[in-house]
Amino acid sequence: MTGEIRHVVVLGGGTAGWLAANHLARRLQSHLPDTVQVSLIESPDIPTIGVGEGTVPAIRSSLHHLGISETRLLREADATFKQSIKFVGWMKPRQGAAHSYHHLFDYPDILDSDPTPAWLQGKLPGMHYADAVSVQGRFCDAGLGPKLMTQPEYAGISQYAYHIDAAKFGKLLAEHGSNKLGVRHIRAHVTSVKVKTDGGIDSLITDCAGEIQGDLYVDASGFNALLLSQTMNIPLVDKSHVLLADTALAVQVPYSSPAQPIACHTLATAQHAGWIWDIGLTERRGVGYVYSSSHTSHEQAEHNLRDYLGPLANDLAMRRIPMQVGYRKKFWHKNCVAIGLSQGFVEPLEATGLLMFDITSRMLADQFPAHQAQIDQTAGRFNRQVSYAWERVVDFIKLHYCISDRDDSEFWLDNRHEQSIPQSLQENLEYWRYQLPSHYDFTNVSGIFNLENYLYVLYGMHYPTQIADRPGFAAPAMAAEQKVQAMQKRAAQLAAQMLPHRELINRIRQYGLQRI
Amino acid sequence: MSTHIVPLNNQVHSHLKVQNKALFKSFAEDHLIPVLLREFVGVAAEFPIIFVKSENTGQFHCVAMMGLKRGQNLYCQGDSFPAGYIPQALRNAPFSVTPKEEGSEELMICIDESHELVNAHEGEALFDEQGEQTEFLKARGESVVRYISDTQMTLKFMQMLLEKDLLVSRDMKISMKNGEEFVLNGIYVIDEQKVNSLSLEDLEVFRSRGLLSAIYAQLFSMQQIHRLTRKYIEVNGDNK
Repeated sequence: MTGEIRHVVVLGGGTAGWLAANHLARRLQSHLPDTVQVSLIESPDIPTIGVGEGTVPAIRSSLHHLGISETRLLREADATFKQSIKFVGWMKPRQGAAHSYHHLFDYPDILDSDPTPAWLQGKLPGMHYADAVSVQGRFCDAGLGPKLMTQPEYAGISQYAYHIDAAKFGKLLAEHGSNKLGVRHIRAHVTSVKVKTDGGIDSLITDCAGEIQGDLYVDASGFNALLLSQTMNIPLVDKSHVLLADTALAVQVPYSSPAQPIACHTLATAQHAGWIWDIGLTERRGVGYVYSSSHTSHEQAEHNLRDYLGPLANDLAMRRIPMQVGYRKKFWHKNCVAIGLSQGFVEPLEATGLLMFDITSRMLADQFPAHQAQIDQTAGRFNRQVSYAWERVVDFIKLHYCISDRDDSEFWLDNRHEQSIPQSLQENLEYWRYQLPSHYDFTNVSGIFNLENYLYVLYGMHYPTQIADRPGFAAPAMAAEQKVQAMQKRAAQLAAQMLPHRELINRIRQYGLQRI
Repeated sequence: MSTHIVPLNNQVHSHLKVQNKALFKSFAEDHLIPVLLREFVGVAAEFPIIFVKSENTGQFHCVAMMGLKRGQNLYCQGDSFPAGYIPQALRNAPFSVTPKEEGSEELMICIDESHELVNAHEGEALFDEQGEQTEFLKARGESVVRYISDTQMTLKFMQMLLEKDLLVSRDMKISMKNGEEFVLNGIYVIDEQKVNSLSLEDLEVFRSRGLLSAIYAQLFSMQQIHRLTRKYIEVNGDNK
């Protein structure tokens, strides 16, 4: 044993496995001779879960870094653009109309003269918080795509991510990883796992590719976590008492015509026992109801989802997916790292699925241990960083429920039980009663949701922060009004150049985007 | 300006005549004029050649800059063309070509019936008494057909520049002596440093296809910005 790490074996051929393999191979330059080899074992017998169609803007920098063309993503993974998550009905109706707000991807424009204090003090009456700090909500409401044909790949007028067909995205990653980045693709089923005396993974025994030995293993085998859980017995930290939804009912809905407009945001519509996601891809919509099975029956849930879709859902088959909410106590144990559902899972409210696959893959690739002796130390750090990230993810998802004023079902009331709210979130909420959230509250780089995300959700949901009415803190209404007017003017100028979302997608699919 | 473009027909168009000149004024508001690969050297002696993206498709095109702002072509304000080289794009009208059928390779010649150069009494006849194409029409027809194939060649060259990553985006700021300033965005040019770092193999691809002169012509042509600013003052006066 030279102590070198020469071979990484990724177990699992879903999006998580392929993202991990791509990031590792890119970083380790595996396409060159005498570098660390990356192999991925994909079992032809195990279907991938294949949901997780939403992303956040960080995916753009990852795809760019991996060398995947944005044009290919749109052409081959049926991707569409996503500029926001629009939350509908997460508060009681106001003035007879359903409540809604945008969680935008553009950063709120608060750096130089922040309209937030004026908005909080009611000096911008009738205005959505998002519209007071960004132009992007107007683009979403007008159904406009976020970029111009003249802009290069991965650049836009506003910040954006994608809705993608997860299965097709997986194929694209597999093709790119194998052909461009030097990942060795092994199609075989793992029948047993050999364990070393120290408890690490020794090798994987397969049905048709023999015994595969690596120095480091990535467990991307899905909920089962064949290596980290089933072999190494690392337990799950259950979070079902915080996040009550435990089941998803998913359906693919065709468009009524090929020209039907595509929403440029995810729609998340609250229900009595959960919420419905609605995502527009190029060829179909992906829709699903995420609910708590202790607050509604499966039959009732299906009934609600069919109600939401209307007559067009009559003949569509629905797929029920039980969700295991929580994350592993450790993500990296001995020579095994979990990436993907094996690592953890929360409901897909803020598109955290692909996001966590992606950032923890990159974290692993960027902090790849120099040699075997460094593994334990790297693992310790990785575990702390990823634990922190998961804790903050849970806080942020919980935020959407616990500041709601809905009281029409036990589900919403139970979501506000003090015992169900993490201590860290309770402390923040307490603090933000009298203080605006600021960058000082988000100092750890491993946190995924930061100031901008909290602002959109807190004030989209009218969180009643009472700021001190003292000079320097409470902004004069004039400045805020002027800023908002300038913003409206700018929005109109930009909107005049932008294309309807589907038209933009069609043109990109036809002509392609330039790299420069 | 309304256009009425139809395929040429020896019955319908038997008495039509076309004045054998270019109507520069019809380009008075187009500050960018398409350039063919074979014209690079000639055009570079007068105008900056730049690369721009189409707003509709995002595709790159080679164009000559004939103005400093949208809506004004400094060279197409009068009846004559005040420069030594006239790009082919200015000389095609009123003729154009279109595929015989959708997707067909075969082309047919079209004419813009409403064009100012087209009339019944003045200029060159299109068909003789037997209904055959005149020498004039044959020559102009060949010229527009050639224009299409030359445009394809130009796009291929463009594609090679992109594949070899030789272009860079350059926002230009032009400050005039009278204090006026022009900011030109969305302009791409060849990067000389990138040309100099081409591998021998890639360089050989350009050399063997006779494309090096076009690359250098574009690099030199940027000096014509100075000529353009002088022309701007000549046309618009020295006052702001």
